[in-house]
Amino acid sequence: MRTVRPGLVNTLEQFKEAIVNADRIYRYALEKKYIHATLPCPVLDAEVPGEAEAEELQTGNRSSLATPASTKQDNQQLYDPKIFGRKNAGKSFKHPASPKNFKSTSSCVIG
Amino acid sequence: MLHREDVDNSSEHYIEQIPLRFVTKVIAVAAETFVEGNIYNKQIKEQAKKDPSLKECFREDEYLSKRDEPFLNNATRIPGTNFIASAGPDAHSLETFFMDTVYNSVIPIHQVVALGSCTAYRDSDYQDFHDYCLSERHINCGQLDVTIREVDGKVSRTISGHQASPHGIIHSQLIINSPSQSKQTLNVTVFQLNDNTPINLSKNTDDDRDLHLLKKTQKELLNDRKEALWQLYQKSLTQPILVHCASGVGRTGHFILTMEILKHYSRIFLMTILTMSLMKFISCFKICEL
Repeated sequence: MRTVRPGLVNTLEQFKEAIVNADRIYRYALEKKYIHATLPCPVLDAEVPGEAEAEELQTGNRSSLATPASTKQDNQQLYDPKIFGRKNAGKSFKHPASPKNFKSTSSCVIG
Repeated sequence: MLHREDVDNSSEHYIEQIPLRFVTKVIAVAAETFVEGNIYNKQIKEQAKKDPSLKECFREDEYLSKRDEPFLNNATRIPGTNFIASAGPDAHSLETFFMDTVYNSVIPIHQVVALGSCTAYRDSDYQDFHDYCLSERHINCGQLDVTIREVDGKVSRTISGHQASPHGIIHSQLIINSPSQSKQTLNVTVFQLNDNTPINLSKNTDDDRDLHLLKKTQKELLNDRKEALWQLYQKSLTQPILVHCASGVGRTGHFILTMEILKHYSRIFLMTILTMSLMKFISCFKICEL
């Protein structure tokens, strides 16, 4: 008989694949205008600062990283509970939890 | 600077660009929100307090075997989410699957996501799970009478007809009838997904056969997948969704994690960008001030 187990994500690659897929779905929703975002999409655009700065210096365009988007309205959109879930909607951002929360560094059981 | 078009042409390159701290952040958000001690942990610990003999269960091997016991024939509610993880049913456990996991679930389930590439009627054939949703028919599961109808999508079968393979995304509707209680409607979305494979949303797809069978371009196929995933994500915000693959571990975990990252997207990513932009602004300001 088959046993039922919790969903398991236990490799870094699996985490990365999930992040990439979530990012792609998010961008698709932006394209289709299911959601509205005021900040630049993060995964690719912001995580290569050296290359970004180099290109900005070459092109003279400094708008990509200079979008402040910190108005009250923007923040409300960021935490729209319809889009980003209900439980933590409106809460302030906390620093990532300490590694104490994880007994094992090689796997993360999400159930 | 990387552009999306460049990245989509090389999925592996894209993945390499993800910094480790994003992964750390995903784990941190997970720890804050939906990773909680499982019920079985608490149950065993509470029992162990009363019964000293159970302390032996905490030895790793025995503990691992012990902790699966409460999950036999029952799905696992992922704490803090609307997802329920389960193993796919085989011919022997089909009745249990419908009766315990779906019909008698504490929370009414109206949506199932099945991840797999091959289904079969007989246990002797290779399968991810029993073919309970890919062909229109009736199944008698003990007290329950299950009617499968409105199968929408492309399904190919072996010559014997015992095995079936979904292509792309299949939607079907199940009506579960019980003599004592009212009928229950169940929507099933089947994603074609091989074992140890993530959902492919990049342009580098290797399923030319599927494209030919579905008569769609690669872009249309990808958009279909994204649309289906987005709709499932929207549903997951308001109603419970049962997810299963073959064993209910790898592909199921990947799917649920993707959905949960999407739900906490702003906490994981956008605040990082905001912080980075602010830090950059502050550092520029300091330089100007000097």
